[in-house]
Amino acid sequence: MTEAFFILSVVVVTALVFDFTNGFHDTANAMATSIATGALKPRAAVTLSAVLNLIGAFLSIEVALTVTNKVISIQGANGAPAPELMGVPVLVIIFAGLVGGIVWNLITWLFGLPSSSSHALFGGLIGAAIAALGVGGVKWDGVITAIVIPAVAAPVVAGLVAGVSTWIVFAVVARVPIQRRDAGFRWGQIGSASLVSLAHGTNDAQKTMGVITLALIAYGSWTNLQAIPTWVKITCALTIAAGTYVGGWRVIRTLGKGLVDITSPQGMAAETASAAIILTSSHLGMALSTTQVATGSILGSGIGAHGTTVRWALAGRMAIAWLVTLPAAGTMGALCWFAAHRIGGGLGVAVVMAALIVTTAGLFYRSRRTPITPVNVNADWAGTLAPPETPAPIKIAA
Amino acid sequence: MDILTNALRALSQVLVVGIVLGVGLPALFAFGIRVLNSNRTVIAAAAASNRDSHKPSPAAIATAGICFGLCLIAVLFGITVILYGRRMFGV
Repeated sequence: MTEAFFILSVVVVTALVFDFTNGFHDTANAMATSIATGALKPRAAVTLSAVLNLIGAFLSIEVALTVTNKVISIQGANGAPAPELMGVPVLVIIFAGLVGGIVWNLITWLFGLPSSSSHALFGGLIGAAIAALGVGGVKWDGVITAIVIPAVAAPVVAGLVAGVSTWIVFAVVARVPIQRRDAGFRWGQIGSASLVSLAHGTNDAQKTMGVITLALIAYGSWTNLQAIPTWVKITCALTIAAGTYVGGWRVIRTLGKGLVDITSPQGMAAETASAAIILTSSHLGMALSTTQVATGSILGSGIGAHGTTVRWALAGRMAIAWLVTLPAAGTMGALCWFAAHRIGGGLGVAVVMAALIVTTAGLFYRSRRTPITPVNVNADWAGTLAPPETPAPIKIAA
Repeated sequence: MDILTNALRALSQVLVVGIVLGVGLPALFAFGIRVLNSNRTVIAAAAASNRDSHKPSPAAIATAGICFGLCLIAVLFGITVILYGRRMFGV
């Protein structure tokens, strides 16, 4: 086994790990509201979402080979790696960027904060590109149009639409008995949430497929710029679905119970707003983050309804996490690139991979101190992610 | 500056379509639920003595059917956009 092949294998595995974290981090975007209102049982919700992500990933017909082109310059316009970076240099940059994205995804998951997986990946790639190529390796125009402006706009647009929608919905059904009302809207919730899941599978799995294919091209074992190898498609689709099925219960709890104590009409208004905005934005030249749209919609559904508590302190923490995403993932991407580069070759990549495994294990171990499971995901919100101490069985399960 | 104007134009379009669909569809769905339960409003339920009044009238069922049907069509359209959107809109 050559060194380059070893590095390629590590990059592919790392990309799949990222795909997995992308899945479980984003389950909440589609399903948190349905789980919180009881429209779907927690397990049923993540299963439905996983299946739709799988279908979405398989049905995606676009080739997202130029995914890094928005923010860094390691590829030509046609998707082929820049000639001077062909081979190991591109592989190490992608690897470091992926590790930065994964670590940030895991940290935000530990705190139960929704955070855009795409922005985490972009952040990691930007950091790695700065470390490897200098400031000129980054397309700052792209950083502003693909990350900064969407991050500011997404919650505002989504919040506005969901807020107006919630207000109108409550006005229309004001005289319908609450039980009948909620029974009807639960169906609407399931439909709208399913649409968000399907869109997510199509969009996000594509990104990892593009990254892996880029790595294969850099290594030299794939040359077709118009297609993605079948095995890449299948593994990415299965991985994001598996991640979704595992369910990021911590983020689900924050979005479903923490931000707003949501009801069925609000849930349907929020998810429909999310679906409408995600689908339009990706076709009007301004791709908004699914996570930020979903969070904004839920916030808006709280503002639009009379007498709903919106926990602004928590929303503030999310906003801070979004601001920090780029520099944090970028710093980690840069550090990983330096480490891999200094040590050099296959050993350097192996050392960074080992560090990633240790970090992941540490964060996972830390999460077990306050486990969030399908059992306690809907417990009343008492100011923190950790549910109130009362139910004994949960502690035993921990 | 170009970046900002382009971004604002794209955003205003997203906002308009977002409001039409994101507000329109839940409102339509809500209206369907309302007509379906028009005999069961809180006041009517309290005053109701006639058992038949608990059944929605055929006209109500038809109206609600149209509302839900339109929502379903919108969902199918959404799925089409998810699958073929880039080809349809060429972005």
